[in-house]
Amino acid sequence: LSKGLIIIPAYNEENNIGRVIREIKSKNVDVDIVVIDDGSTDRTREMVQNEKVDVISHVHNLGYGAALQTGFRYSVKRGYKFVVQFDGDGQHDPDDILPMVEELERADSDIVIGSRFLGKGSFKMGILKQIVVNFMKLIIKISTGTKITDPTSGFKGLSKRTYNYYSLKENFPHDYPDADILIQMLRLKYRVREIPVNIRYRTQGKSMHSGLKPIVYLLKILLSIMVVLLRERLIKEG
Amino acid sequence: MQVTLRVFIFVLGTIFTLTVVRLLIKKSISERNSLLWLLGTAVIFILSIYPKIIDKIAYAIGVEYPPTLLFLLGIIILLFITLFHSIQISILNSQVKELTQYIAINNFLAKEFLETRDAISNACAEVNKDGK
Repeated sequence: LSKGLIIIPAYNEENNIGRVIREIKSKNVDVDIVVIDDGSTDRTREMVQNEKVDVISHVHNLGYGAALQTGFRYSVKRGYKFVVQFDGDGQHDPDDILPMVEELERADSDIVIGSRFLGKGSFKMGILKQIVVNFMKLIIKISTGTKITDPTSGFKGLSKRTYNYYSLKENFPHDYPDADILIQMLRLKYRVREIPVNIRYRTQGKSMHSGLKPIVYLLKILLSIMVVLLRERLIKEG
Repeated sequence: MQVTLRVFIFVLGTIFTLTVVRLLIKKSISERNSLLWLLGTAVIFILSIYPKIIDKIAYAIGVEYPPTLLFLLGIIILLFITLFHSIQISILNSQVKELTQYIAINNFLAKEFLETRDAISNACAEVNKDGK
């Protein structure tokens, strides 16, 4: 058992997942890997097993956040010191795992965000998504006083304290955990740090934030942020 | 209100009540959920027997055209029933998520346990064989 665990949520990623695992393994970082197969209807599970990596399968699709939470719950059972969230679509760069692990091993951060906007490589996104991301950055700044450059990054490292918290029933959303969760954690005084990471473009499949989805996503996140802030106020008053 | 209309509403109420009772017998609806619908049928029955009630309530609260009050009440009741069902769906979603995660992790751990047990059994068998 290594000190850390890489959690890869995957839904119908048969074309990417094998390559992603091989690339991670080739970096020889001392971490275990677990893939959470979120009810895939293709050969994702088989591809993971071919790579001799642990795979935990949901019997049906629950969503990205729920798949991550299954990973956190598994980590709680195993007692890992930290976990790293890594996407199964090949967009994250395995070269960034080592700096992430080193940052987590320093143990002075609870959440380490891999930021695509801190100067490493060049990351381009659509205008609509840019607006959404900038708006979220602004809300985080206003509600917590903290500047976060990449609130929608899926590449994160979490301390044991953090993933223990996320593993509890209502502490993590089943769809997309983003600015709302970040605001909640910052207000709970969890230490958040960002490190620069590289992002690669998808070679297979479709992004979960394509088309008009950013707008729906923004509305959902706004509502979630409002709930986080109201809940905090109610708890304080209660 | 004409007698034929009152009979029509009464028959409608009876059909609706029988449907809910049938669903209850078939266990297709829970007692808790059926209470709301039975309450609805009770209202239909009362209105078919005493249609003047609507006129009186409308007059008391200042509604000029009584049938609109009926529509308003109907919409409000349906809105509450829908909200109640949304709450139940959210609870069920959360429970399904919990169950799915529980099954996934425990399936994995059980498989791992069986593999480890088999490996130990095989190793023991090898040692015994060598010992003999």
